[in-house]
Amino acid sequence: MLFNSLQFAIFLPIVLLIYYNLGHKAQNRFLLAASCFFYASWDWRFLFPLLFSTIIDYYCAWRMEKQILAGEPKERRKPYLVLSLVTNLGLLGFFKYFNFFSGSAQDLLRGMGWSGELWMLDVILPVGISFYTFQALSYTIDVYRGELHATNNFFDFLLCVLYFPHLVAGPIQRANNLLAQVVNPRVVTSEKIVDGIHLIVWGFFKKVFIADNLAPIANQVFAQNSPTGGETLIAVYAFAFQIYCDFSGYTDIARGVAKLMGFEFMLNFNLPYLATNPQEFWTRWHISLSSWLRDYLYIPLGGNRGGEAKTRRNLMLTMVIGGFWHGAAWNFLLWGFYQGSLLVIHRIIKPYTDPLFEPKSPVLRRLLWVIGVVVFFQFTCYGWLLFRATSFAQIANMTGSLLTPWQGFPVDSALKVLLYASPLVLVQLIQYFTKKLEFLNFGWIPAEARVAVYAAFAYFVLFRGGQPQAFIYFQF
Amino acid sequence: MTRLQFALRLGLWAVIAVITMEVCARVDDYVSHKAPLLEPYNIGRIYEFDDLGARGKPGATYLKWKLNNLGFRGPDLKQGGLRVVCLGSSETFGLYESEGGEYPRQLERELNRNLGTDQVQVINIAYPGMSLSASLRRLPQVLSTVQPRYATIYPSLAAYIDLGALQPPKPGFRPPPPSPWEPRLKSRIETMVKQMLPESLQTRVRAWQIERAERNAPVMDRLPEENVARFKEDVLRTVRTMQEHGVTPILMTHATLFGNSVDEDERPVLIAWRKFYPNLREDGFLDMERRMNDVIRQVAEEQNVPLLDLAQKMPSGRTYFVEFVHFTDQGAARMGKLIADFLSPMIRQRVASNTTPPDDVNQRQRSMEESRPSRLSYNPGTPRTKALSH
Repeated sequence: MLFNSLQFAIFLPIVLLIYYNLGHKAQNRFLLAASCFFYASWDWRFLFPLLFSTIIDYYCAWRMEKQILAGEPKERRKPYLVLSLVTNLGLLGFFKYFNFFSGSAQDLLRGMGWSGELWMLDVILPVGISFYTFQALSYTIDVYRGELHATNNFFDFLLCVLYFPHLVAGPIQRANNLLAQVVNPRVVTSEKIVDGIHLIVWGFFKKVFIADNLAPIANQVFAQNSPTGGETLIAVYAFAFQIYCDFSGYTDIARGVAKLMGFEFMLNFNLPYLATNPQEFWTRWHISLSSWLRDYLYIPLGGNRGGEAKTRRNLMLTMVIGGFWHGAAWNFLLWGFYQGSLLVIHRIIKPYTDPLFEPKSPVLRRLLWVIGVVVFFQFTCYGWLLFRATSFAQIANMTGSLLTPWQGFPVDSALKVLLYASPLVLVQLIQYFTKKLEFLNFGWIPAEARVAVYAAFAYFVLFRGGQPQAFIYFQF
Repeated sequence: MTRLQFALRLGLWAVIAVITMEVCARVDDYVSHKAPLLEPYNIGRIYEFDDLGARGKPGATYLKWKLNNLGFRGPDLKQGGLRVVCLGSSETFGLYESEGGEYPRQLERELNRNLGTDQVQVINIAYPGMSLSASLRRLPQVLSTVQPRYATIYPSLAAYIDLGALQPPKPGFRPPPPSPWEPRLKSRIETMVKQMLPESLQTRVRAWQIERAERNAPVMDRLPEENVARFKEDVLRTVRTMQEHGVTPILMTHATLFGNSVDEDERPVLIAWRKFYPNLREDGFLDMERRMNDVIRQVAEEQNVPLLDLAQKMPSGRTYFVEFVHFTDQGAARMGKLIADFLSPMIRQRVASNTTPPDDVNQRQRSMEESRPSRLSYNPGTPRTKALSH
């Protein structure tokens, strides 16, 4: 059941209607049932790996909590943490990465003259497995560290993992944030409802009007064998806006739906294309993942505590693993390596470039900021080329087309990209300069005018959207 | 706030939302299609009416449909060259194909490619909902204006389900002008709902609508012989009118999504189609297609008219048909290719033995007079295509 489907348009009002008429405990049980239904609407079998890992995580956290309360040393908790890690990462590896490793090994062996066939799995990847695995891991790791008390109510924990707005594509909620909201009664205020509606409308606008209309422009070029430089450039720009609007649109809808039920999800995107360097970009893009990687991978690896060389190694490892989290394919590894390289290079040149970006003149400072944004956007876009490509040959072809003299320029496609991306750019610039990410809820104008604005957005969503496409991040 | 006040406020918000969306729809039409903001905007814009009935309004546009300066879909006519007209209904006019993707345009491209020239012009003289009977009333006038060498005839068969609808309009009859305030949001909502509803639910709704319509009119299992006879008469008259104007008619049988056999999974398509003609049962359509295609074959044989049996040659399936009879881009491309491959040898043969400049109208009329005795017989060697230079 996609957010942009008729089924969800029927499902959500029914859920809300019942939800608002229940007490807190009953709300939790009902949300659990609704979330099971939501997830099972893809394939009821998806529930089994999720339930299995959730039971193990709950058990491990419960045992660790008992040990903490008994004052036992931290080492005694390790077996339970390892069990949780092995279960979660084992399931993820089995469903998501087995065929990749098996296929890659087979290619390697064939290259060495072997002619046999390695075993490949014929299983469907459970939707959202990467997201709920990371979320569940944050729970057991936090309990292991003694930063979070384990819950003694299995169903509350299950609801944390299974809660339908964030289940399939995040934001990856930390247990310490969501569990408290599950356990304690929630308050739904009119402000939350207005904010929720604003997020849902804006999220749908980004997804349906911008992303879905840009998708064919990018798809058409990425389906070609040898696009021209101009076509590649426009396709990559189109994809850059498509993936951002697709994913952040999903996140906004998820956050909006959660708000309608009194939940608060963490911010996942904070104007990422207005970043001037990779470090800033990763504090603005997919924040729930980048902060997860920081807290549960980069820092445990040593972070920046072991000297410059180790810091660079840790950055690179974190980004490569982050890239691989996205999908079992070499291009995602390459994308992670590219992002890691950008971070390392930025770290090296930062002492020399930072003073350049801080001149005394405000005009010059603003100009340099604009240049920084535009230049770094090109680096981000090249990353999207690596991300979107389906083979190394395609990456080489498209990179080559950008570097050789262009023959012609697809003016029509460029104008379309400009047309569809312009509302986003305009809104984000206002958000940046007003420092108000929620400015679009128009709290400062009368309700009647606000209704008109939302109706105008709804028009573009309902009648000027592109061919409906599944959310890109669902595949991860 | 009392409940009444709250309800009133909600009502006001709903009204504001609907008005805003209607304004958006009008501005959207204006920006996308240069549609007037305060005039009606529907398919009726491309028609004008006289005592012969509806005809295309020169230069009219509606959405992707653009009529030329003679009121036919497609570009303006060029001087010279060889002209082929396509007579038919919505299948020929083009409904679902992208702009320039309707089969007459694709036929033109294919013919010019086959013949290695750019001198062949294909003129699409069809309109949606136009029966052969209605086309016939204006056909002499159209042929005199366009002066084609060839004409393809691809009639809409469903128009013959209701013989009453084939009657000519009463003298002086003009349909009332639509209201400029007709909501443009309505058709958008209908389309959106149609796209969102599952096929099975849509089929149920249609079946219910058909059931309601059945209460008001008798339902036929099979098209009466009288209707088929009327169709034959009109096909014959069309062929003769064309031949009288020195035009070589090419009869084409009617192709459908199903081809020769009905895929049971596709049966809802028939229900969808029947919604427009509720007084003929689903299987009656298939029977009608068979019988009327036989009529077309029969007329072609009796009159010695070239026949392209598209009912046999067009591949079936969703790749080529959007619904029962209308084409996808690929379907229209296949139509264009099949017709071009059929026509090209005839044109080549004429060019090879050509003697008469085609644009000399007097000469052309003399030629018509001279050839009158054999006018009703098909003679692909009739020399008339000198303009097609190679």
